[in-house]
Amino acid sequence: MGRRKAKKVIFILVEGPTDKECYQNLFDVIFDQSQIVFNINHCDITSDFNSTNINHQISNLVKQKIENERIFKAGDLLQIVLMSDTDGCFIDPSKIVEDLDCTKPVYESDCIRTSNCEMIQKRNEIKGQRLSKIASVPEVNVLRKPVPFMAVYHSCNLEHALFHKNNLTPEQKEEFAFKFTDQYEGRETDFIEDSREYLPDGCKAEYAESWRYIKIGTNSLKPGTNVFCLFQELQEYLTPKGLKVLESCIQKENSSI
Amino acid sequence: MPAEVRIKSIRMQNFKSVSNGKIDFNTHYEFGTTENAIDLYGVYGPNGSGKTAIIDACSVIKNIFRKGYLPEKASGFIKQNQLSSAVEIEFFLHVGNDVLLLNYFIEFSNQDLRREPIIVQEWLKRKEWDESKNKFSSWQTLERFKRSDLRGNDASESAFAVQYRRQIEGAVKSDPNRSWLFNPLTKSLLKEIKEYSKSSAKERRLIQLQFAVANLEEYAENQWLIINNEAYGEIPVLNILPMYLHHQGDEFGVHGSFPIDCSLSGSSKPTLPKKFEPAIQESIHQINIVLSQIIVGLTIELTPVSPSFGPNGEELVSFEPFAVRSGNRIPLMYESFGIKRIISILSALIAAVNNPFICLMIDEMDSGVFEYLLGEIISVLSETAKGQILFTAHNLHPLEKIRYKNIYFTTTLEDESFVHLKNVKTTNNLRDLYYRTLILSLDSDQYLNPFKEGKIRHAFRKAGRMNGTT
Repeated sequence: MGRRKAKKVIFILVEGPTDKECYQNLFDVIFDQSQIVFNINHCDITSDFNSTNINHQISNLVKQKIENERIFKAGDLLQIVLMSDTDGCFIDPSKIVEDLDCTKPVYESDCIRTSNCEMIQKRNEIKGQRLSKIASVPEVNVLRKPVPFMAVYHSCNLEHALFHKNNLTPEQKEEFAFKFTDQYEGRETDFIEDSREYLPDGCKAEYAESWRYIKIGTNSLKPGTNVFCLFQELQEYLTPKGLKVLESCIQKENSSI
Repeated sequence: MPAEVRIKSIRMQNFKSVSNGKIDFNTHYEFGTTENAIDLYGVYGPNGSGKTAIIDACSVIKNIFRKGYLPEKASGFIKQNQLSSAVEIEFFLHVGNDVLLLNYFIEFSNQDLRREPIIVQEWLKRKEWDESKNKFSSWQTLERFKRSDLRGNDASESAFAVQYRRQIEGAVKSDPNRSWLFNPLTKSLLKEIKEYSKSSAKERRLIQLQFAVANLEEYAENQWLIINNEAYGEIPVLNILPMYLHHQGDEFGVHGSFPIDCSLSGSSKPTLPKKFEPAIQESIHQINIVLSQIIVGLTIELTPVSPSFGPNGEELVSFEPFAVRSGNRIPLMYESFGIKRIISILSALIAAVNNPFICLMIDEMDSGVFEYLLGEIISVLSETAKGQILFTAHNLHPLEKIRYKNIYFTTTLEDESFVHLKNVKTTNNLRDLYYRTLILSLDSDQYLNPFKEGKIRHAFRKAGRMNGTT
């Protein structure tokens, strides 16, 4: 028996600037703070990773943080999560439409409009491959300790998935993140229920299924996120209140089948 | 022959945010030997958790020993919703072949509707080292005073003859913040006791009391240096630099805090008798020896200015301070806050390093000091300081330089406000372990009332919107 008198760490890698702001307060309250500590860090899927050995690269990012902060050890890790925007990366190249007025790519519900189709096509190919690989990683080895891994997507990005808004400026994103945090203040566990609704239309509440679903057709352009699967996976670490909400969601799910 | 004094422990109850806290000085000092005796202690903890309480408690006791009364600010030190506050300090005293332990206790309270604090209880106890039994005798009460019991029903315990008691009673009754034991009246009465025969136990105890009081007073006056932050509030505003000088010159010793006015227009600069100037300049010379090593190439100069005469015709002088670097002389006022602070405490630090009977207490020692330099200074102190040093700080780098037994952390526990970290292995880096304890330990809320990054961020934004800044 180890004398492990320490909380466990859930290590999250996020891409966007507002992901941390939106989720940090939610997770801190939804999960049991007497057992869990969150460590949220920024990364960039396109530059921090290349297609070979994703496992190894995620492991390196975590290892670096461990070595820099010198607070937690590999043995403290309970779960590693990567949060990423789909940006429509799984759509067919034919859905990338040329529009010379678009200085930046514009995301619509069934196509991406851009002045440089070739660049977007190339980007989608790379990102699609990487996300596919990442989604299939079940665990990551950090300093020889296997840690369960999960990839959470926001389709086609966080604002679209949570607020149904697209193509926002950085100021607008910040504004939405603030309003989002404000609206859940005091009722954070409601997000568990809401996130069940935020799964893409027609998608079952199951991790592998959620990834299979997002790769179909133009689904990666439509709003949705599978963050609900994270709550399912880590349900024993939710607060009692959070657990109750989760269980009633699952009940509803089962009764509707 | 003056006694050699070292503090053994400090205990406080209901003092500021501390419910019950104790700091033990290991006092490795072996009297009469030059054995390694490092009593260096750091106190760490979140803002408002009680670090400065130790320094304030000692400040109160020092004031009592030197001046005989409780300072008015003591009423503000009583913990919220508590009736009274208490401080207890134990001292080792060594004179000739005798080693004594003294226990001084004071309990004070607020008067209803009045701002002045009143002393509720006070005592001084004594223990003597018995060479033949190789242990201390049991505690003897030299004198005890209880406000509720002014007639002294413990007459058998009290060393004071009835007549003396009545005189002190009268004095203390009218000024309830006056110490019973360190009252000037008490001290002068005790001095008279020498004339009595030493045969009776009561008289013997009076002599012991007189000896203890005289030595504690001397200790508080000349050996016990407390540097808190009150004086530093003035640096940015008035440019008064408090210099803690501690030096024994040929004719005069310089002990204590001496304000140096750095401002250029010195119309009312503090003045000193000119005869002290050589001792002060010696002090400055001593400071420069160390200063030039800490901030390479920097020394300070005090230029005497504005000679004048005092009411008794004695010559007075004032000082203009300068910083000298590579031959360039600029008024000290223009140096940075950190450098001024270092200069200010250097004389006291030099004394604490070299004199085993100095006790130096510094609040927020790291304030304005470059982290790397702080670490090097702490390293030196932890290996060479002969005196006792206690400091509070926020910078955690010193945790990487001192053993865990020399660091106290504040807690939110009711009965143990100061603790050492537990389960520390020699290979542990104490700073990392402390962080880990604060963040990951299952009982982390013993050390810290947790604050959350996400909530702080949201709070900043929210407040900004109320301000109309967005």
